[in-house]
Formats: sequence, structure tokens, C-alpha cells
Amino acid sequence: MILTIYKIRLLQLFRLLTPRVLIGILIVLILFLYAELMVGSIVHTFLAQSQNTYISLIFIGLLILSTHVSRTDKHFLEKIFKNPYSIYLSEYLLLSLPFFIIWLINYNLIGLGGLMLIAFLIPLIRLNLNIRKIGSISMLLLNPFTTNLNSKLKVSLPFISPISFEWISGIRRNLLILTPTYLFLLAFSFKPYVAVLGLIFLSILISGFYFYGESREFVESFANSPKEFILKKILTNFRQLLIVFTPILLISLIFQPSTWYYLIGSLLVSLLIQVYAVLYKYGLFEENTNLNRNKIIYLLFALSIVIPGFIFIPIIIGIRSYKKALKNLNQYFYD
Amino acid sequence: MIKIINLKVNYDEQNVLDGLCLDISDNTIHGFVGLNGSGKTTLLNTIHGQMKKLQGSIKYKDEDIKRNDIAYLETINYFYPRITGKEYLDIFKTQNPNFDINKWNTLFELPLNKLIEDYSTGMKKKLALMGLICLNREVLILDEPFNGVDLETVQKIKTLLLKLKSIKTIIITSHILESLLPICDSISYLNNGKIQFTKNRNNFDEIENEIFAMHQDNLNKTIQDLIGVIGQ
Repeated sequence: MILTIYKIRLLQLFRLLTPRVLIGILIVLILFLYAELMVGSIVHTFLAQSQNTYISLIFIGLLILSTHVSRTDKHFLEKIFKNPYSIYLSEYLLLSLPFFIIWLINYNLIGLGGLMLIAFLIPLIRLNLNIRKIGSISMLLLNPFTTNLNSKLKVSLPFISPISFEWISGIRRNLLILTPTYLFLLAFSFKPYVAVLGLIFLSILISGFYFYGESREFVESFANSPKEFILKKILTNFRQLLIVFTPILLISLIFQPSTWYYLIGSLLVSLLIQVYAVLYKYGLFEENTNLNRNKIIYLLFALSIVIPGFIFIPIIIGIRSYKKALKNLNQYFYD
Repeated sequence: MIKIINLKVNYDEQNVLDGLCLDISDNTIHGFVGLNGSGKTTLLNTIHGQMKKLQGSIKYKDEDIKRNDIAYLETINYFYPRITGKEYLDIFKTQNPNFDINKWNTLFELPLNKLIEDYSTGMKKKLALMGLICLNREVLILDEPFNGVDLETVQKIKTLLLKLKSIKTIIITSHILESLLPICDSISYLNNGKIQFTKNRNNFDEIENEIFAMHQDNLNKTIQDLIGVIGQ
């Protein structure tokens, strides 16, 4: 039974090993070796010190626990095998093997005992957590722009045109972040520069709406050519953005008329961020696919729009994305 | 008329469609049946232009068929997250402003103000079909439209297709022959990327016999052997 599972695991691993993944593994290994050689055997030294045993055990325990509660193959294993406990146990023992070896060499009995306890006890836990929810909570803490955390709230959005489906979906998905941000901006736009910075922040949040690939029907019914598609997408986005920004702009202009040129600058940067988001999305476009995995890199590039001297980065990436977008969209407008 | 002329399609250097020829008359319903992997979906994808032809052509009204001629319901339907059924249909309505969503919904009875995530498989199928009807294209392609749909809806879709064929040409696939017999004017049997035969309504009773003649002998023997193995 265990051998069959390990055979499947090896095949899964083998299928994962594309050249790209291999290069990634190689880079991580080189960096690790570099750190080991330059700074000394960090991990080894850390684990060898007995005062670090408890911290290490907590870390390993949390790692295995999070793996156990979020693994998606439990239902399959429980259906096929009468008692999958031994499979979980053997996998967790294998996961903790590097720590096991180090503590065995250092004759750290507390560490060894703790590891055994973790590996034997965690498979008994019957809790299942949705990995997407765990991901969403951690992403919300790490990076609020990438959150998908939301309840099943369905707010009505009559001020948004149906062709801006990204906005409808995006607002509902990010309601927890957008509502307080927008209310804060409305309430404090009378203060100098709040609107100036707030509009850029809001624009970055909104650009996150564009990270889900729509279905073929949506693409085909939106325009008649790739160029028209991109242009129409950008203009639709601009229109929605201006509708959302107008109240903030008005409040700021009434109370801080002298900062009008900063507001125009902020608006231009916000629009540029939207252009960049649209180009980036369709440069990576895949139908019916969550493109969130590209969000962190996008954010780094998008933020360089506001960093003086770095504007060339999004411009270069934007031009490249535009060419790729035309190529990607061409398959939908072949007539 | 839709004319498929010597159509060849390769996928990963494997021949998926091998020299297909077929004429489908206007205002008819043409069915495709075949085993899993026989090339049904590939054929539909190729007609729609999603897959490239290695050889051959597909004509509609004596010209190369265009995507704008076709509304295509795929086997699995994807929907954008966190939008309602109404919002989904509104996107299609931009192509056909005269389409009356509420009136059409008296037939499908969908909770259009609910998020699509909360729909059942059958409801999603109905919503996707309604979107395609809204596009009002001349050729309607339906890949396994009865999958996951309840009996009442199957009947509704069948009645609708029979009415729609007076203004459209419909191509439909199914794994289940019985679901196509009452609505199709002609049915082709696909096997290993080739059309083994095409039958008109008058000869539908021959279809089952011919398919079984191809597979039944082997099938009987294989099942007999397998049952023998279990019994040991």
C-alpha cells in the first residue's frame, strides 16, 4: 500500500520537473550552498544547539500540521485504503528526515522524541481546512492587494457597466479592503495630499481586479480585433475609474484647490497603472484561469511607476506585454 | 449548408481527425455520436476555429466558416467568479440588445440575481445555453448539452432545439444515442477520427445494430473473461 503511494508520489514529482522548475531548484540550491559556505552552516548550527530544539520542533510541527490539515488527497486516500494513517505517518517521517538525521548525529534525544511525537500524533487530527482560505488569510496579512478573502456577500453595483465584469467581480472579491479604503479617502480628502496618494493606492488595488482570465465567449463578444479589444478594455477601465474617483477628486478640489496639479499627476499615474494592468493581464492571458500567481511580480513592476527614475521598467514590460497580448488574443479573432 | 471537406487534424503529432467529409443541410439538427476520444470535441473545436486544420476545409454557405457564424456550447462551461446570472447575460446582451432576458428566463427558470457559483451544474448549463441563444448566430454547436441536466430540462432543451432549427443549423454531440434520436435529422458515428457512417432519420434504427456489430463481439468476450477473473 505504502509502496504504491510512493510510486504515485514519485511519478507526480517527475511530472513536475519541467526545465523551469529544475532551474528554480538549482538556483535555490546554489543560494543555499552559498549561504552555507559564506555564513557557515546556518541550519546545521542552529539545529545542533540544544537551546533551539523547542523552537525548531514548533516550526516543524506547524509545517507538518499545516500540510496535514490542508492536503486535498485525504478523501481519496480514505476512500481507497482502509486505514491511511500509516501513509500519513510515513510521509511525515520522510518530511522530517533531514531534522531527524541532524539530531541523531548530535544525539539530541528531546528533538528526536519530539519529532516522533509530531509524526505520530498529527495524522490523528481529523481537521480539514480549505487551502484557498488559508492562502487568502496569509495573503491578506502579507499583501492586501492579492486578497480573495470574502464572504458570499453579493452587493448590487448598478453604477458599473456589465461589460466591466472584472470590476463587478473584483469589488465583490475585495469588499473587505475596498470599502474602508474608499470611505477613508472620502472622509479625509479635504486634507492635503490624502487624495493624491489615495488615488494611486486605490488604482493599485483596482488593478488587482484584472487577474482572472475570462472565458472565450467574453473575449469574443467584446471586440472584433486584438487591437480594438485592448483599446476598448483600457477605455472601459478608464471610464469606471473616473466614476469611482470623481467624488474623491471633487472633495479634494473643493478643500485643497491649490493642489490641483498634484491631483492631475496622481490621476495620470493611476490611469497608467490601469493601462499597465490590462496589458500585463492579456500578455499572460489564459482562458478561465486565475492569474494571481503573477500578482507579486506585477505589483513590483507597477510600483516602479511611482518610483522616480524607474518608470522605464513598466514601460519596457508594458510594450512587451502589449505584443504578447496581441499574439494571445489573435486566436480569438482569426476571421 | 455546412460542408466539411477532407478534414485532417493532428494533436501532438497524432491523427485525431482523418479525412472527414460531411454535408450538413441548413435548418437541420445533425448529431455526432462516438466513444470517448473518438474525436467529437476535436471536430467541434475545429469547426469553431479553436483548433488548426492540418488539411481540408469547412465551408458555410460556400465560404470558409467564420467564428461569427457560430455559437458554441462547450462540454464544460466556465464562468467569471462573483458575478450573477443576470450580469453574465448582460455581457452577451451587448451583442443583441433586443434579447429579452426575463422573457427567456420564463423557460429556463434560473435565479438570475444569484451568484453563478451557487448554481447547480444543470443551472450553469442552462445559463450558458441562454447566453449563446442571446448571441443569435446562425449555427449552433452543442457539445454534450444534456450532461448533468435534469429530465425536465432535457425535455425543455429538446423542444427548444426542435423549434430553433427553423432558423438555425444545429450540430449536437452526445455519448448517449437515445438522447439524440428524437431530435436529430441525421446522425454520424465517429470512430478513431473517421466518420464510420451517417444515417438519416428514416434509418436511425440501423445505428444501434451497426455500432453493436462493431463492438459487441469483443465486448462480450472481454466482460466474460473479466467476470471469470473476479470469480476466481
